[in-house]
Amino acid sequence: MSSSVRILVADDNSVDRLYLSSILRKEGYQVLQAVDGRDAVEQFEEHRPEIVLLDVIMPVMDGMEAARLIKEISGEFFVPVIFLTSLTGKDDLVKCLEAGGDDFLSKPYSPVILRAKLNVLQRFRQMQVTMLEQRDQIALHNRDLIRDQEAASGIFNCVAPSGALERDNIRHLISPLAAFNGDVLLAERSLSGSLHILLGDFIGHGLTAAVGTIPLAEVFLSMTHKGHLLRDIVVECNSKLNSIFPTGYFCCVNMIEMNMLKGTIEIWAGGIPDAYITSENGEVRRIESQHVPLGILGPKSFDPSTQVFEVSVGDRLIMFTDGVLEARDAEGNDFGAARVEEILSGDGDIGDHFDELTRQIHEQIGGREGDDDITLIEIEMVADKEMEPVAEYQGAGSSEARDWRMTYELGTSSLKSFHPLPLIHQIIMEGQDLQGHGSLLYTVLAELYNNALEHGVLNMPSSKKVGEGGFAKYYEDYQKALEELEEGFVRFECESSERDGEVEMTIRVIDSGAGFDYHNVCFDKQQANGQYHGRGLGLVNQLCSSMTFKGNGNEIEVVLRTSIGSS
Amino acid sequence: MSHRIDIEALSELREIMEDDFGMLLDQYISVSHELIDEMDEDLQRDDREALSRNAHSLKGSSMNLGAKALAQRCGVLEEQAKETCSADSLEALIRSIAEEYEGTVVDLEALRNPG
Repeated sequence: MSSSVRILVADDNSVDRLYLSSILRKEGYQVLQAVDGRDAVEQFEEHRPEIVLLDVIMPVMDGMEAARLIKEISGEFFVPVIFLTSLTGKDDLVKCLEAGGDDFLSKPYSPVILRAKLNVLQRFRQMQVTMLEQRDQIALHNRDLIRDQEAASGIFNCVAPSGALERDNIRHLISPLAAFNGDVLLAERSLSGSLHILLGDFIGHGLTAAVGTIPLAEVFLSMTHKGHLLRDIVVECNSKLNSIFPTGYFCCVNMIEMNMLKGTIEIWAGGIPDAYITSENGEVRRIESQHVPLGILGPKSFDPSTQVFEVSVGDRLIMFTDGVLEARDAEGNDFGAARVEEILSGDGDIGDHFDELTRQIHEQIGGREGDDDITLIEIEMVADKEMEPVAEYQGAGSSEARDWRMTYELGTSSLKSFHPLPLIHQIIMEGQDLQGHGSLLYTVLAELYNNALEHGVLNMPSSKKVGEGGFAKYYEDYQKALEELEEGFVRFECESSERDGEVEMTIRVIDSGAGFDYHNVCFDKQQANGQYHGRGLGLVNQLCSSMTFKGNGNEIEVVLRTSIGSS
Repeated sequence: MSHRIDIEALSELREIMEDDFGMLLDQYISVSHELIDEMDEDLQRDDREALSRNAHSLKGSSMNLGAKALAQRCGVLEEQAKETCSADSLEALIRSIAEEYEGTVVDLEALRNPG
């Protein structure tokens, strides 16, 4: 028997005390003695013995009151209390147990029974000590875990300010299993004016899953800020995850570009539940994932091709992670895709579908924590003019390069595979004090380039845009034409000069196309009335100091003027 | 042989206590005497609660020592003291306990040494 275990013996009769103490000392216990209940409580407070033996009937304070106080003092620590009694009535014994006694020992004492009882209580006590140790250890680990998650969450919030989702046309539900989980939901306006949305679900839960959200968000947001195409962002996100994470670590995503001007939704979906586009006329379009999740395939076998859908103002895109489909009710039934579709195709205002969906999900999981993170988002297609201005993200300081010229020509294969605008935009922005005009510059470049490529090099008539199938058809034809292109180029000639406190930027875009008769084209500045077709160059005309066609119509020159330090 | 003492219980006690057995007997004899004196005082003050408690205390230690006859009389007093018994009958009970105590002491002394 462990010699360090201390037992408090409280009995007003010194004979019984002596007797019991002798037995206990021979058993190897350290014995403390008290002469009445109050003495017992005081000694307990001072010495904290592991086990307490209390006579029931004692002067000053009886054993039951002493037991109650001792249990109160010992709190969560289990201190066994054995009542010493020559009482025999059933009621008296019950009272002993009710007062907090764990057992009783009747007079005359039997050393054999006492030993057996103490052994049992010792085992209990040991078990409780172990339990408390383990509990404390778990609490400690949990604290560490939460601290780590908070730190990671802090980093994530620096990368991706949570305010990005606070837009009038976005509603979302994020119910994390932990402070910072493996789901990621981002919305950011591209330099091109489109709205980019990322919904991701990393494999696993907790910090392991969450750690990947940081590089993913970083790549997604910085490329969006620079005006990269969705497909280029997808490629970069994939190769980032593929290169930094171990095999078997991946992220299911929906990556979206919502173009308010064209009225299109472009989507790259990998390994994620179907998304839906609902329209006010009751139509529900289902968008299936066509790819494996991000991070699995190397750059060579990765397929960045996207799907494009034509949408109208008021249409809604609804997408979610698999936590929604797998949300279980008390009986273990999944929420399921059929139920989602039933809600989305239900009668009534489509504006109510999101609320109904979240209501039913909450009803499904009740008060229980779900098995998986649940992330759900609805984005409403709105008119471009209802969007806030594109936020400008400046590089770290700018050089003062104001007198320079460059020629940048894209040959056939570059035209097919490379989107040059972010690069050219960055070069021009470097030297110019164009703060606040970054997105304007991007718009100009994009319109000039698209015009040169689509109508010049690929010779696509713009009237096709409004033809049968609209933009989706146009997009398809465009892809096909680009693929089949045998020879062509688009050349940028940029020239920057400083004069009278102004920076004058001349941008010429020349294409290999046949050109057109521009003499009869009138670019009325009032023409850009919200219709996209025919708006392209009209918009450019509005933004620039001058715009002129040259050659046989395959060359456009625009001039932008900004005063130095104007912002 | 003693009708007052459970011989078997006492020899078990001797075994357990080893060298402390003598000390335990001395302690019992003196503490019990004190308790009986206290009972007298309790009765004079008409403190029934203390009387009952002291009887209970002597009952417990007597049980442990195997002094079963004395323990039994103490048990009676413990209960009677709680009732509305007359002081005279309680007085008589205390006297019988004192008598029994004297006999018990004699018997215990006789059994102090094994053999």
